[in-house]
Amino acid sequence: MNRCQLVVQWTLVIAGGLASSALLAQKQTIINVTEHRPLWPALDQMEQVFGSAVNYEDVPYEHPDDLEAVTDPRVRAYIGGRPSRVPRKGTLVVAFDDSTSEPARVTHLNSLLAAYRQAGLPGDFRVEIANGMLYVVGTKVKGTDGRLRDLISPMSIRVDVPFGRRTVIETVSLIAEAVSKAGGVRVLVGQVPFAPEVVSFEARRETARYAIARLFREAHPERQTSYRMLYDTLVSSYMLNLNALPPTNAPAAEGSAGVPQGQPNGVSKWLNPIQR
Amino acid sequence: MERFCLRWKCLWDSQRPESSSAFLLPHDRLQRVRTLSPSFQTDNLPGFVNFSWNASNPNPAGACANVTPAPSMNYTGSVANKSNDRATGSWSRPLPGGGTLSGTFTLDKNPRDIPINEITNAVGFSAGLLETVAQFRQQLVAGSGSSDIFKGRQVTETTGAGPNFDNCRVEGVTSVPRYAINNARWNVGYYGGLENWWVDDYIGWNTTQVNYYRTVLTPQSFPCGAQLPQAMVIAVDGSFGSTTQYKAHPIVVQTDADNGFVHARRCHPSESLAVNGI
Repeated sequence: MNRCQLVVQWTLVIAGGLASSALLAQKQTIINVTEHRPLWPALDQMEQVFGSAVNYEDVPYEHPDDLEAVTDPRVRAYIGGRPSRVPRKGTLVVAFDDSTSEPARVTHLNSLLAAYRQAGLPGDFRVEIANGMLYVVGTKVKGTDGRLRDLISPMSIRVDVPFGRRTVIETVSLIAEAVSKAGGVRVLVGQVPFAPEVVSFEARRETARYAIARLFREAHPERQTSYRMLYDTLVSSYMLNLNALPPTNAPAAEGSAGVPQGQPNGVSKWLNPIQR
Repeated sequence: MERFCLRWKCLWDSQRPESSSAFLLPHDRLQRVRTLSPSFQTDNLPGFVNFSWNASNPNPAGACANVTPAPSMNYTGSVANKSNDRATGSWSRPLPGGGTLSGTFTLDKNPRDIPINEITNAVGFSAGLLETVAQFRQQLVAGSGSSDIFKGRQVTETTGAGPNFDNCRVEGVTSVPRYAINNARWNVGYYGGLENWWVDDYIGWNTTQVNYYRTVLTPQSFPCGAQLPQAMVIAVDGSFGSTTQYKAHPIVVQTDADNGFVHARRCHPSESLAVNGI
């Protein structure tokens, strides 16, 4: 099923319009996705092009215009007494050049969001830069009354996480629990590609967004990780999925917040070294 | 680790000292200088070990075939644990008329040590949110039979070739991403007493994900599962990202409907774990 396309084209640009001018080879990337949440796969592809993380915070789709019935027979027709509906599918096409500096990445993301608006897809989003990371954050959604209403993303909620040495998944769970309590919306912890890592971590009145970004750096300073905070209309909850980008070829950093050599990190009941 | 010094070969030297008529290069004559052990490790990150050696009292001490051996030669360098096959550093020796001649060197281990096999050991299911995630512990097998030659090396999982599907996920509808290889990395021998082992590969959906599928999918959708081709690579050529694949096999995860079974397999069917009542 070819629903997502990432096309890279090389375009020759004649500088100055003169035949004698230098020919500049400019790579152009075209993203073409058709999905129920097209920003999700589009941002996955942009991360590959950028070689750096872009976080995504979905909007809580609620108006019938923004939803459509699930037709796949594998999905229950009714969940929790409600008919199964998912975000309306749409197509998103955007083209951008190969520059990947931070200002260029912001420009490319804004182009993506402009294309999203132009396509009339659900909700609205903005680009945010903080803590050396990029975020695409939901800002508006069509309410049940049919009007576009402002939205404060749950990841903007300030959270407290007491100091402790925990696994990354335990720490993410604490942040998700704090957001759920304060935000009145359930945040489930989905994919966490960090199972065994233990990190010393504390957050005090820090937005969940920045706390998680900082956790990524402290747990895996050499590795780019992003999150996808997806609103799941089937269970009326957010699913917080972490996404590890492939490692780069750069030399890995020395030193980290790992556990001392030879010490079980306590992640599970199985980690005591086995006897041979 | 001690055996590798015997097999190292000089590949490159800046200001090769043998260009001086007063020096007999000792590289090819290195014999068991000392035992090198990997330094303190931080999981997932490479460490390094420093070394230094001194060659002195050459025999013969006087001129031999128009070459006069230097009275001494000092080498100082480090080996990155990530690949354990490359040392870089600097050398120096006194000049006959006074002063010191110095330069840098790179030594590569030849041949490299690549595992000839990896034995998967099913350990058990984890705890808490990972109660539905199985742990597998691996032992690298050396052609030489060494039980510690891979200590300090880094192994990484990559997506290989072969069947790759996730039929629990309903594309674009469910909010759990397609089950995929995470490109995770492990330090071999990180746990004391398990020198050629890496600990652990976590395979499976967490309890939230399993419960999610059990909530949103019809009973007829179960059992559902995913299969991925996992290719294991080991770091070579220093710390700059070169790797060599040493093993490839499928990973399988599967879940049944309500309070049924969860199953995870790494490699062969005999290397699998299943648990009921989760």
